[in-house]
Amino acid sequence: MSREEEIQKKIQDNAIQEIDKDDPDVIAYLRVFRALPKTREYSVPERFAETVIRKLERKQKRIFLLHEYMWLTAGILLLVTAGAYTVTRLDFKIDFGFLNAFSYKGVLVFGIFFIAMLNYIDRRVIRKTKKLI
Amino acid sequence: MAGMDDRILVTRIIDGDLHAFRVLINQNEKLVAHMVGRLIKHDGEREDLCQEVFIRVYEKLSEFNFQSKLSTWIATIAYRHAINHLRKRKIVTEQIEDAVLQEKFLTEVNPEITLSENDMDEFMMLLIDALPASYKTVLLLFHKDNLRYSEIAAITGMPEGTVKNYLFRARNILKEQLLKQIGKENIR
Repeated sequence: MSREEEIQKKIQDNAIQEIDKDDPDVIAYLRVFRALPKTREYSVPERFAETVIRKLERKQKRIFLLHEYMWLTAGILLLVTAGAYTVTRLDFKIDFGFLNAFSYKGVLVFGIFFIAMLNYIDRRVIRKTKKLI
Repeated sequence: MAGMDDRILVTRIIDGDLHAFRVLINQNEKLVAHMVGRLIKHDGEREDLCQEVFIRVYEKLSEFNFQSKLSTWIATIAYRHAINHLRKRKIVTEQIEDAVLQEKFLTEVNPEITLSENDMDEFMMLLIDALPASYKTVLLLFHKDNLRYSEIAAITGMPEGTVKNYLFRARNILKEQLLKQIGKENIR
C-alpha cells in the first residue's frame, strides 16, 4: 500500500493520530475529506412530479395519434389497392345504377343506421376500453 | 433484493397507476437531481434532463427485475442519461489517461479555480467541480450519498476495483491541487 493510500485509509477509518497532523499531506487530505460531504445539494422545482406526468401524457398522446394516422394511412392504401385490383380484374365499368338504391328506402335507412351504430360503438365502447392516459 | 414496497409500487405503475408513479417520483427526485446536477452545470438543462430520466424510468419499468434496489436502478438511468447528454454536447467525460490527468490537474494552472485562501470550503467545491465527470460522480456517491462500492459500481457500470481506484485517484488529485494552490507551508 502506498503512502497516499495509507493516509486515505487512516482518515477513512478515523485512525489519524495527533502526530500525523503535522504532515501537510495529512492536513490536505483531512480538508478534502471534510469538504466532500458539504458539496452542493441539488433539488427540483415544486410540483416537479406534476410536470413529469403532464409531459408523459403529452408524449403518450403523440404516440397514440401517430399510430392512429399510420393505421388510417394503411387502411386507405389497402382500400385503394383493393379497389384498383378489383377494377382491373373484374373489367369493371362505371355505372351509376347504384343510384337506384334510393328506390330501396329500407336498405338505405338500414345502411345509414348500421354505419351510425358502428360509429357509436367505436366511440363509446371500443375507444373507452383502450388504455389512453 | 428490493423491498416489498418497491414491488407493489412497480406493479401498480406498470398497470397504469399514475398516483403510484407520482409516489415514485417524489421518493427519488432528490437522488435524480443529485446524479444529474453533479454532471450538468446549466440549470435549465438540468431540470429537463431530470424530467426525461423519470419518463425513461416509466418506459423501462417493465424491464426492472428487482436484482437491485429500485433507487439504484433509477440512479443508473440518471447517470447514463446525463453522461450521454454530455457526450452529445461533446463535453469530455471519458476516463482520462493518467498522464493526461496528471498534466491537466497537477501541472496546469487553472485560472478558474484560483481563490482567496480564506474561503477554503468554496475553494474545495471548485476543485471538486473541476474533476472529470466520472471521478466526481464516484467521489460524491461515496462521500455525500454514503453508498457502498458495490452500489456505486452498479450505478456507474464500473467494476468495483475501478470504483476504488477512482476514489483514491480523485482524492489524491484534490489533495495535490490543494497543496499546489495553497502551498504546503500554508496548509495548516
